[in-house]
Amino acid sequence: MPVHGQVKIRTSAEQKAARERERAEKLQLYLTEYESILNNRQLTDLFALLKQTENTLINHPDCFTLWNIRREVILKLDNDKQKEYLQKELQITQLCLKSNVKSYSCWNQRQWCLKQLKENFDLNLYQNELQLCQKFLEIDERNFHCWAYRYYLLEHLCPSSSSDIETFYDNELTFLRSTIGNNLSNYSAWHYRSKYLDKLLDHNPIRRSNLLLKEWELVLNAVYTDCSDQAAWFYLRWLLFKQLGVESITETEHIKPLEELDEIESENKWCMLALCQLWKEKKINDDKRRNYLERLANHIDTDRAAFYRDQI
Amino acid sequence: MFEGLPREYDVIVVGTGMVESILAAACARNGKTVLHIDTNEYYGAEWASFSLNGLIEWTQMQENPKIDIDPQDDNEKILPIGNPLNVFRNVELKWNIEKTNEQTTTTENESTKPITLDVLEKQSRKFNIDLTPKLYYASGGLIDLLVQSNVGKYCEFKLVSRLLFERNGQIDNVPSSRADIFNSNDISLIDKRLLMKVIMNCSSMAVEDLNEEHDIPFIEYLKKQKLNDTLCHLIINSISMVDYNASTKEGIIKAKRYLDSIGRYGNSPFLYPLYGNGEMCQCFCRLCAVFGGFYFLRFPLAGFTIDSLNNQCTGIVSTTGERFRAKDMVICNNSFLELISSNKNVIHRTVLFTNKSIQSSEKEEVTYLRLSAQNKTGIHIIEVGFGPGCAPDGFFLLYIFQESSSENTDEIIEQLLRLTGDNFTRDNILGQLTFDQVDTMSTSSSSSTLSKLIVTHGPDGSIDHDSAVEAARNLFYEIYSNREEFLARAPDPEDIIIEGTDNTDETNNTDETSTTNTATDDTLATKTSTDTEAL
Repeated sequence: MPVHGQVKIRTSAEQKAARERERAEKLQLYLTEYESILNNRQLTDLFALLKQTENTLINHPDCFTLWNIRREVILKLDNDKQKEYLQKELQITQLCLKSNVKSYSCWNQRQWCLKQLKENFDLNLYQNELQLCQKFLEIDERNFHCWAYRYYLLEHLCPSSSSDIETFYDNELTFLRSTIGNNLSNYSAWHYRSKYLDKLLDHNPIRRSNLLLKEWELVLNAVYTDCSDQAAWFYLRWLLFKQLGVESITETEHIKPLEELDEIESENKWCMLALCQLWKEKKINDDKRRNYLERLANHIDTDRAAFYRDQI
Repeated sequence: MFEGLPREYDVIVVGTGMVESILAAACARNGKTVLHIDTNEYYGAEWASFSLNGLIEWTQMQENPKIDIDPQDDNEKILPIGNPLNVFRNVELKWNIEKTNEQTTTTENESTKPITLDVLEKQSRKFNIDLTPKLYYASGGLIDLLVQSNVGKYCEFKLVSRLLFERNGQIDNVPSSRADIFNSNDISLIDKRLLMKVIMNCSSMAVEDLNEEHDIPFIEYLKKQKLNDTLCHLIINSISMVDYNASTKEGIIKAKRYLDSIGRYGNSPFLYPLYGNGEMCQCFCRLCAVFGGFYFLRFPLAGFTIDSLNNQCTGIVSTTGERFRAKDMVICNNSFLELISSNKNVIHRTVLFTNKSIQSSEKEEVTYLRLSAQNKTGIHIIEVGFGPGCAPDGFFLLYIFQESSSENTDEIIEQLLRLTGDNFTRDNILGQLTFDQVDTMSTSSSSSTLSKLIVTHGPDGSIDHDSAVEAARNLFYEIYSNREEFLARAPDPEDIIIEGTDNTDETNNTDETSTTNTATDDTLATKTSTDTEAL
């Protein structure tokens, strides 16, 4: 069968060599650009400097110095130009985030922009930012940078009137519940849930017992579904000891379900540890407690033997 | 008719079903010259998908007149073909709606007019109806093959978003992932733990871990893990998808396959191809064409030429007497050989045309419901609609079939209607297609008395393609022995070097027509460095 042209495929050794060449070229380019920017730093052509740093940052978003330079430049601009460029900055960070969604400097830059724009508080802008967070969370629901940014936004979006605040907190708790529903290992989600639960309880203490009951059911559901997931256990301990308080812990409601879980999953260190702490606070089952701590130290979790022995 | 078509090839493949198409692609990929034909005017054979009008035409299929060809000399014998459409029996298409609305008063509200057949026919092209509906395990044989061979770039899929099972006389969602179980309000805490434990055990168990403890029937094993009846039924029916008398080994292996597939592309283990299952055969044919394979649909095939001296199949002959030689092998689907007429094993298939989903939802879903009970084989029910491009908006296709047919179709529909209650009633069924498909897997290939004729089979009653992929792979190694690679990954464009320049121009031609495809210009004929002349 006639074939046009001789077609060859690169072997894997050639592929590797090609990749190395590419990387070396890229590095050289970056170093040249970086040096050029540092040289131009004190020049007066601010816009050229912005352009230069932008080009470099899009490919290398994690260079702190370059972002620093940009901040310097933007602050030197007059008010109208400043506002315009702060908005642009948001777009540029978004582009940069595409190459690294967990870039400390990009998220930091965004927050800095919002802080600078604070005097011209724009509800739309904050709502847009919130939507952006949503998108990033869909890509990676455990991106803690995004979560932190989200909470920075929520601080500013929090309404001032009393009745609205409660709805606001409730909505957030609902959002967090669905996030946890998708993946109960999401530590960030549990963490922020604890923060918002605190706020809601402070704001409306009447709902305390009802809310805490529901919360206990939620976390019990989580530890039963996946007894080895630390996020849920941490939250459980916070809920019982920090939120509910030792006096409110009852044997029937709190301790018994965990004992039942322990019967099914007899070597689960999280469950055993939680029980030991509960028994200690309630001053019951001392022998069993010692026995468990010994087992944890000697067999089950020997890496932390000292930690367990300390508790005996 | 055959101008420009070469008369000699390494391999001739007869039939464009799944096994044949995978084999044709594998042979062409390794540099063999391939002629791939079908007597139908469409791709896919038993695995084809049709528009509504195409399907109606198919139900009225004709008998091909038999033509006797004389052997050209004393050494030649002719083996005539049978009618490949004989794999289908008892084809019946019934409509519960009028053909057309005689009164078309403009004052009447459009939406209250009862739907008529001509309205559906006008949207014929929006239908893609599978003769052989199947689902794809995300970590299963076919998806792995698509990824490994890079044929996956020719097709798109939707996740089977909704998995249902029967619980207490109603239809419910199958909780199979950790998130499902966490969010379920129907399972007690302790049961959640026990269920998760069994699921995680199945996932993490390797085949070597199975020992005498596991010689008991699967249902006993599950009861030993303290699962209640509902959860046992859940696992047997909807996760392992085995019969109630299955062994523990089978149950665990199949559960593992299901669980391993969850999370690869989403919260469900199954994918469904956009525009229906017929697309799959076409994707492999496309790969074959890209690597130089020739295609000829509606080929006027009379039979096979045999060298009577050594009882070897040498090629094919058309009804006009034109002969095409195959040097290595002729691969042919056994529906072309007359021996299937005696076959008794059939798969009963049903397609319901509906105007409502069996369970309403806010978004487009692809649904899979499996029904089974003690002493009954599993019933597969797949519902597709507008989402995967298989029906116009507002209409659905409901596929019903069984692993091995023991239930009556009407009884199964009754059972389904009992479960759906008021949500979905007989009024929602606009039309019904039923047919029997001979299960050619169980046919013994008695034409193995002829050498150089490889016989492939059609689909079985299972939900997935693994048996077809396995068969294709095994047949390939039978022909070419293990020295050849089976559907190696096609090289990425960046890695192709054109002689004389060290750049990365792409010169592949991915056009495919339904008749002859000459591969002279701009073909991506790549020979990997491991390719050897095996024969």
